[in-house]
Amino acid sequence: MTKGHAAFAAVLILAGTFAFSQQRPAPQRGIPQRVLQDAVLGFYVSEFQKQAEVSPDVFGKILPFLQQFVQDRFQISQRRTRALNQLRQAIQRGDSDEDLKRLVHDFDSADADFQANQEKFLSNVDPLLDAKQQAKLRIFQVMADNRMRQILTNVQNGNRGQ
Amino acid sequence: MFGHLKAKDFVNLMEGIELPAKYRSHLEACSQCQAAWRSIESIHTELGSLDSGIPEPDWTEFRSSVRDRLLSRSIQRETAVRRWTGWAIRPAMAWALSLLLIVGLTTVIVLWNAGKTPAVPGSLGTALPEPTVETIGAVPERALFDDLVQLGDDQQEQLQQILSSQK
Repeated sequence: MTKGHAAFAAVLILAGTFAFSQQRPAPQRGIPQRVLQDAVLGFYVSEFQKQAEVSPDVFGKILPFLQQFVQDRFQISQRRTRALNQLRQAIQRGDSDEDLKRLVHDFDSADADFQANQEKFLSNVDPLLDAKQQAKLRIFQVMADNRMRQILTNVQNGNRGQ
Repeated sequence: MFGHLKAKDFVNLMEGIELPAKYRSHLEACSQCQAAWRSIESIHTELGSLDSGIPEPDWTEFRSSVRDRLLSRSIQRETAVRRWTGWAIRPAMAWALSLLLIVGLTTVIVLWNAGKTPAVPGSLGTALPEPTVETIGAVPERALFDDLVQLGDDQQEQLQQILSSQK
């Protein structure tokens, strides 16, 4: 990749990060949550650049889908976590079956949306890539998630040890 | 006239047999026959002293030795018989041991191969293989972002700093 391409990619990352922070819905936990989401998006964009080996032109087309994918993933995870907590509380309170069914539906819906978000991202991006790049995209997703899990575990263990 | 004494007459003299009177008269008168007789008598005396110098054999020892030799030959003959019959028995034992070894080895090999035979998939009692780490982590992790959104403020800040430092 030339210096020009790198600069272009960096501009795209910054622009995408800025746009993502503007599109993001009202944060639940204030400013730190928004900063975290921006940082996570920047991480995935950076990892995608390393793994996918696409031209700046293609990268520019893929970036909005990647931003949307990460943004939706955060929203779905918030819904899923909320539904899970509500399920726990409902069981502890001994809520009615009807209430439990509604909460189970919310949780399953969030689960299904997770899978739908994944499929939507791939169906949008795959047409822009050749077969080899499509394969690398799958590898990128798994490797980036594994790397993020590793970092997250370190943070959690570090705080637990304090 | 009979002349001088003959050899047989001298032998008779040595053995102490009485000679006829005319032979004794001739020996006393004839110097030649006397010289011959003295010579023969001295030789005879020397021979007699040699005979007395030879020790008498120990016949008791001789009998004991003969008996031991005979017993020894008897034992050797007996051992030879046992050796000969032993060869008749040993091959049978060798064959039996060989057969036992072959049967044992075959059994071990059959059991070993039976243990290594791959189980038919889906058969009862067959444990399913444990999933590998690769197959477990081969899809985007569903709970990853669940954990991210549940981080405390300090953890979020710490994570944000780490991610920023890695760009």
